[in-house]
Amino acid sequence: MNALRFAPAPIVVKGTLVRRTMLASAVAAVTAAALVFGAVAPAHAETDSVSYAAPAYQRGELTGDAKVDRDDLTVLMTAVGRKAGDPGWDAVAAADADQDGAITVTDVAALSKQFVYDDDPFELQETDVVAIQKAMTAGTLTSQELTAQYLRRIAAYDRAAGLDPRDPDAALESIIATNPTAMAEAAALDAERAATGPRSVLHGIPVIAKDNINLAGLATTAGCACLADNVTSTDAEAITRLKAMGAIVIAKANLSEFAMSTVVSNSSYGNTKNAYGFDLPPGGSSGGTGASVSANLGAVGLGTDTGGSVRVPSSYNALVGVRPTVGLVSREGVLPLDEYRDTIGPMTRTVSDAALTLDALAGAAPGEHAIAPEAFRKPLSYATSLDSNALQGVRVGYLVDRGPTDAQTGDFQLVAAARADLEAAGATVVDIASFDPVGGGRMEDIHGSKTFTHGVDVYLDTYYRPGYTFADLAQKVTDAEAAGHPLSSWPAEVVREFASTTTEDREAAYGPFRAGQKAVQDRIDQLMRENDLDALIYPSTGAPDLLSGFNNLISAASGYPAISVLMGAADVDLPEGTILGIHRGLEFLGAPYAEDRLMGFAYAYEQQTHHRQAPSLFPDLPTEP
Amino acid sequence: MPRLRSRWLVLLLSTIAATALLGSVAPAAIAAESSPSLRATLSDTDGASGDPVALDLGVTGATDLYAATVRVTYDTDRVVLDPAAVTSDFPGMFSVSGVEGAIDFTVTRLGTSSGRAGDVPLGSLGFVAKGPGEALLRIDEVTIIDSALVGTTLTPAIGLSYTVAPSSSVPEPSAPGAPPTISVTGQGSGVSRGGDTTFRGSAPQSSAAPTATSPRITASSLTPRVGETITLTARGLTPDAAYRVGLDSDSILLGEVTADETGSFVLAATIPETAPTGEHEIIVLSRGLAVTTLPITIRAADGAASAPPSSASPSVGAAGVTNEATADAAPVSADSTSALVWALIAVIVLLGAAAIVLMRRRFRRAEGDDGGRG
Repeated sequence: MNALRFAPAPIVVKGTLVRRTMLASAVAAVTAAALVFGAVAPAHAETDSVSYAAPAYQRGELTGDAKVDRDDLTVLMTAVGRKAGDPGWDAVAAADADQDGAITVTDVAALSKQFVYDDDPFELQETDVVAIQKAMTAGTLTSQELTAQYLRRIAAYDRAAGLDPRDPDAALESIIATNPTAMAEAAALDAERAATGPRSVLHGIPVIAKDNINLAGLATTAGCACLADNVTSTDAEAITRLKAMGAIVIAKANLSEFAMSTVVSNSSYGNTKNAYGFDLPPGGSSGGTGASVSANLGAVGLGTDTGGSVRVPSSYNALVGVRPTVGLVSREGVLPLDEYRDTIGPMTRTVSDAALTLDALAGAAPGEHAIAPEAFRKPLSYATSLDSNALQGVRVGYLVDRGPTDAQTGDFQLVAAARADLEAAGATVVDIASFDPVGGGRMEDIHGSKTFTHGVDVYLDTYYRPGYTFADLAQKVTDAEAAGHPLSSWPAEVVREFASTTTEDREAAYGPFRAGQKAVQDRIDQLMRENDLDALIYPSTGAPDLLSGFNNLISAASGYPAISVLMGAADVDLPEGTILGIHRGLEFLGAPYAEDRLMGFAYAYEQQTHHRQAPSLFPDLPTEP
Repeated sequence: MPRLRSRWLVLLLSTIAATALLGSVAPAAIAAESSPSLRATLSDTDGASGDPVALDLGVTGATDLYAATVRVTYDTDRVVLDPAAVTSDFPGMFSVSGVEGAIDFTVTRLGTSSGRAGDVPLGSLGFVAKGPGEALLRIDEVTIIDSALVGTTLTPAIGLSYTVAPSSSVPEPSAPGAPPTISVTGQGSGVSRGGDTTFRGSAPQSSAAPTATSPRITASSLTPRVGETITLTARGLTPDAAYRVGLDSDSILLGEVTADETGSFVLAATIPETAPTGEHEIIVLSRGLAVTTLPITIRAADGAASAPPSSASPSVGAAGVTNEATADAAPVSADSTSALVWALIAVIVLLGAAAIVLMRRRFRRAEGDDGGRG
């Protein structure tokens, strides 16, 4: 556990702009080609359309470029009237949608529906990546127009009081800063699309990233004003990969300062609220991403998850949140919290968007501290799993002791409805009485790795200032607080405590941490094996109140992947009265690198239920003259 | 032969012809005014060999036209299709397929674009006059597909007459054997195109200034032991408002308190004996909503080991139902001990297990974060 252990790979440590550019180009060339075309672009490939690998968009694809577009329609439309047995039938047989042995206009229409294209007026509210690509391919939307719309919404809504009559003095406070180069990036991407076509399905897509993820040229604060001058010259690896696919980071999102809390998202830059009501829980620590994406201030979002920080705010803000297997997504360039458990995950309004974002984020090989590296796999696209029938014949284990009791009427009914929906979608729900004991103890007693101090030391030395330590930063916070100008939302003594873990403490914590991690892994493996399960399910926020609960730790402590998808909203009874309409996620947890299967389960459940409704507090802005 | 015609006359005549023949359309296709029907017009009624003539096609009364195919048959000794003269304004793609004399003109919208309504032009098929005589262009079948991929078949039985005048030149005879295959595709000129990507709107930048108004809480010890009483000090709260203070959860209540007129409170809180060890949060709640938190590390009580979980596989009953009392019981060494000691140990174990079960029931509603944070 020396310093180099957590340092980024040599190619990115304090990489020069040139080296970054080279890496970006390489990733763009390799990843985009692999994702969009496979190894080699086929002869028929159109350049102005994108590939969306969901099965519903691939049926009858004829030209071998993994996308239905004009090329495929040209082949099929000139075959109208052709019948089975006619010359050339084999070339079009796959597009005989109604399987009547003849190519008719019905087959043409069915194939055309799979073209990622739509020339109807673009609707920003609740749009998704594929809908954006449809509009851009049809020429009714540019990335500049979309980026500007989101920037205007951020300016109009994020810091405005009076939006929520139940809490008229409050504001959403989800964004720390917008990216001043976003519009220029969008313009360049629009020009590139016009000249050579889109790089991928993420071309021109506006992204909101949590502000503990490095974005070159803009400060990465982790929510602490003590890092307001932490302007890195490089992007985090995850950002590099997104940009290589054509995405644009338009804003950095607020968070629980130093990503510490799963309950709140308070920082030097404000206290983030829930997008559905400013008196509702936002969750943490990626609450800024959760609230902003839910409020339609960006297309997709990035969070980080150490103990639940993607899934808790996703649950409360009615989003899909993915915590990938540790090792699937590089954490390079992220201000760390726990080097063995930190992950970066998508936070999106749909499962499809989560899959497409994870396509860009996931690495080609297991990363540092990867769980079960021998099992590493990455599909061509996670979108290939987006099948409405993915729950057919699947067995999921419901953790009864992680769910509500019948005394929690609203949540209990929510879970009962979710179980019924899963079964209606073809799954078998198996009751698991108790997840505990874990290694003979309680999940509550599982310890972290105590690598926070060391990780921040390495981060600051690498990106902020050579030789600068977390202790130096804590002293800066202490001095500022003494001078009456606090730089942290945490009291200075708390920041000093963050920075105080010694090497001896850290090394002593490793053994117990690994033992706890293995105990949780063993317990999951055991339950899956003995009950012949494909996934475990439980409410993403398991507490009977408005707090995060403890369920999110199962994935965090094991390193196994989990995805939270909206289960609905329920009323919660508290000592002070009943709180109406708390959104709850249903979490699917699976084996290492089973993100593709989990995406399928979550997608089938989402398509079965369609629970998400847009928040009402952030309507369309007036159209600019 | 001089061409004594004007555009209005041609259109009138051809429309009359089409309308007359519509009388033989299947009753269902014309039963209601709102039902879609085919509109077909020829640009001319007569011409000489080599003259162009265009067949314009459209659908009237459409409500949701996503795609359509029109089957056109004609006498190939009189006219032939001019592939270069097939055009369409339909916002999508079009094609002509089949063989000379029996062709399908097909249009489709693209992707999830909505279907068209009202009077929908489909396109124009250009022909070239060939041999002398009357060429009858017939349209006996039209299929319309809506956005939900539901099809409607019309049988308009339209016949449009075009007369080719005799010519001094001998027309090229049709080649023997199978008629030539027709294959034409194109993009409708009504398709929207990107083109200009110049952006002229506004794109305001936003940046939040640091704020010093966040509520805060701190403690006399950030690493308390189980059972230890610590002093919690909070400020930046709403003056005179009531708060609950919990450990990880509202259910592990450390105290209830009212902020003073400055928005501060001081609370002596004891870490419960049953509290989990490790990294956790003290949470200040107002009407169930956390307003601020404090990360703390709870240590085991003096003299007690903060035992991490072992990696031993726990016992699990059939179908994953765990025997909690057995599984939670502390392991007992198997060294040789007197019967009295064994009995004592057994009593302690049983009491311990019972206590744990009771605690677990109590904490079933009190799950809280976290053996880790964030």
